[in-house]
Amino acid sequence: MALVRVISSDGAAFLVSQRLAKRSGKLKTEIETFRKSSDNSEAQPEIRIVTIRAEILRLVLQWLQQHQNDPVLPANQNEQDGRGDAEMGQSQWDRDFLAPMDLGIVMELILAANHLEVKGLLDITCKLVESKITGRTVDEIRTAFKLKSDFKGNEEEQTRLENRWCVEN
Amino acid sequence: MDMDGTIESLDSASSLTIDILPNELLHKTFLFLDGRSKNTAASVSKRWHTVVDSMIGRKVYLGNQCQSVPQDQERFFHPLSDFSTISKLGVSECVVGEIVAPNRTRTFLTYLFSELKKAFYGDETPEFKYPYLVQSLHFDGPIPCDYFNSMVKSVINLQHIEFHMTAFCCLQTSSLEALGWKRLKSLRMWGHRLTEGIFTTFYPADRILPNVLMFLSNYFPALSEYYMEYPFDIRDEKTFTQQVLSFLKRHQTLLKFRICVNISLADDSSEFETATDREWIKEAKITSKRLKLKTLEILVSSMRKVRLARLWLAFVEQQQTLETAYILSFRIPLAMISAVCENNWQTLKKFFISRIIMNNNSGRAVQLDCNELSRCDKLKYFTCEGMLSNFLEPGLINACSLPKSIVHLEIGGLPLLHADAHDLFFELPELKQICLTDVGNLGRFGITIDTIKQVIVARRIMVVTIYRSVCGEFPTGGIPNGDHSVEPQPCIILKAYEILEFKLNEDGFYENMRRQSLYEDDEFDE
Repeated sequence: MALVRVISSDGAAFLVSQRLAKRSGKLKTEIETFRKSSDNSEAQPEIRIVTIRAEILRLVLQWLQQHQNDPVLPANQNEQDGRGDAEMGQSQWDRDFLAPMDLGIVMELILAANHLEVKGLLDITCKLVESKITGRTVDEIRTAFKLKSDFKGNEEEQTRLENRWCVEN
Repeated sequence: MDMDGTIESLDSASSLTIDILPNELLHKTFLFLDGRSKNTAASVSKRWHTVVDSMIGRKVYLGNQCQSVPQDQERFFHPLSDFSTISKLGVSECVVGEIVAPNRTRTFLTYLFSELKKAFYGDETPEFKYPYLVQSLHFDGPIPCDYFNSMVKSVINLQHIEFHMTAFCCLQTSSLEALGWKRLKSLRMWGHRLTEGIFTTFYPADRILPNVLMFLSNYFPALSEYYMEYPFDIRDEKTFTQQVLSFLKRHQTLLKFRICVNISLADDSSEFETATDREWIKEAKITSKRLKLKTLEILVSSMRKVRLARLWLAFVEQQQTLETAYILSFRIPLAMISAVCENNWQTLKKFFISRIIMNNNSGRAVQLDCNELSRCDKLKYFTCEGMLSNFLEPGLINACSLPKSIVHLEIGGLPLLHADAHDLFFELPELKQICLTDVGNLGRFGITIDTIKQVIVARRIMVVTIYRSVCGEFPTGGIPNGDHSVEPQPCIILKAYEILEFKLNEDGFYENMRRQSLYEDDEFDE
């Protein structure tokens, strides 16, 4: 089985099958680039991901392994269709996978999934963030996301007034 | 998976917050939010506000509640909102009502206000903050021309537009010329409620019609849906119809078309069948032939519009790919119903025929011979309505002339013989819902108590509704539904006004039904 070494920003190396790695759009491109530039077709590619630390990279690979037999979703799909995909793809395993994570880790996972072009993982993590917003008040959302209001004076009141005219679609 | 890296404990908390996400990823996350949550999210922080603002999904109502259209329809209710709203907010759907000032007498000012509006709204015309976000626009009442111009300017992604025709009364013809909406998919134009009283005074046809005609000279390359109502007080319906036909000719992308004639001011039935009429009908046929519609709805509810009825019925006959046909008109010739079935039997799924019957000889009801219909083996929904016609000619419909694929059947105002009524319940294997209204309750006509008992025993059809059509003495205590496990055993009863409604419950037995809509379309669709 052809393998590939994926190295995190903090130097941890993960040895995974190329078949698995190619389910990430980014890794697939990297492996192909390596093939073209390398004389030895048997050589084991080594890919350094400078933006993702080991803990997060491990989670991404773990997710990829669980979903390695899923059909690959086209990455450039119309964004508005995203909703349907995520609902379809979210399994009990995904829910258990995400459950213990704090929001900081989820944010890192979103960045990683986006960087490595793993659409399925990006969808479920974004959906998780969505679930933390839906049905909550502004203050609850700020608390959940550790955000502070940066509106000055009556700006916030102004925003609420503007939004009064919007109705649920 | 082999991993030779050293891994720290997995659930170490991260100090990072959602702020690390770039706008595009925040945007992606917000895509999953519904409209209400988007509004909440917009108040969280400046950055969130900016991101939400640049997204599709917000709907805004502007202007006053409409005087000119039915008050009972929710969408015509407009809380007056400041027009500058749309220049501050990202908006994807905008509904504009009548534009007059609050706390003022409305009706007369509505008409005059194109001159007076500056006093109410200031000099600035409203402009969308992000015109490219706008997908849907509704104009439900009069709007000043410069407001209209600045709102429709650069809405290049517009997909849906809707007008009540009063919206045109203050516009200039030139602003409706060459509107380049390349993505427009659906166009609806309403003209109802305008034949009544005072409105024709304030919204004169001679100010509106030229604008409607000009609007219809446009070409929208992606148009697939077109709903059109004849406007009120129309004197020159010929010019109008020709414009509609030529609009249709130019839009061969259309899949859905609905035309509604409910005006009745002028009588067009004199000197029928002249050479010009034949020419006109030929034109309609040629136009129709070039279209491949999937849904066609023709509604001619005015009995005085004989020519228009003939014209649009001729239009129906030429279609060959219909999945849904909805025809409400008087004088529907039998040949036309046959033609619809003959031409569309491979595709037809829903067929609705409703006939208004005139009392004189020329307008008498046609007999519906369903032999052509039995060929439509994809037909699932079939509705056939007459008006209480004379009961001298029974046997217009029977089960063997209907296709076996029917799931949902409605018959109203047509006499059914006892045996024919019985067969409808038992000879259609797929039938799940049946509604029989005024099919007779005396002599040879209507549904017998025996038939009803058999239906209840068979427990096969999911929803049964019968109005004023039970022939015979209905048992005072009702008919037991056969469920012996419940004490006392439930009975199906005949309610006031001879209403009999029952449906299968979870245990598979019939129970009396509360009133509900008869048109639960798609419930049994695949």
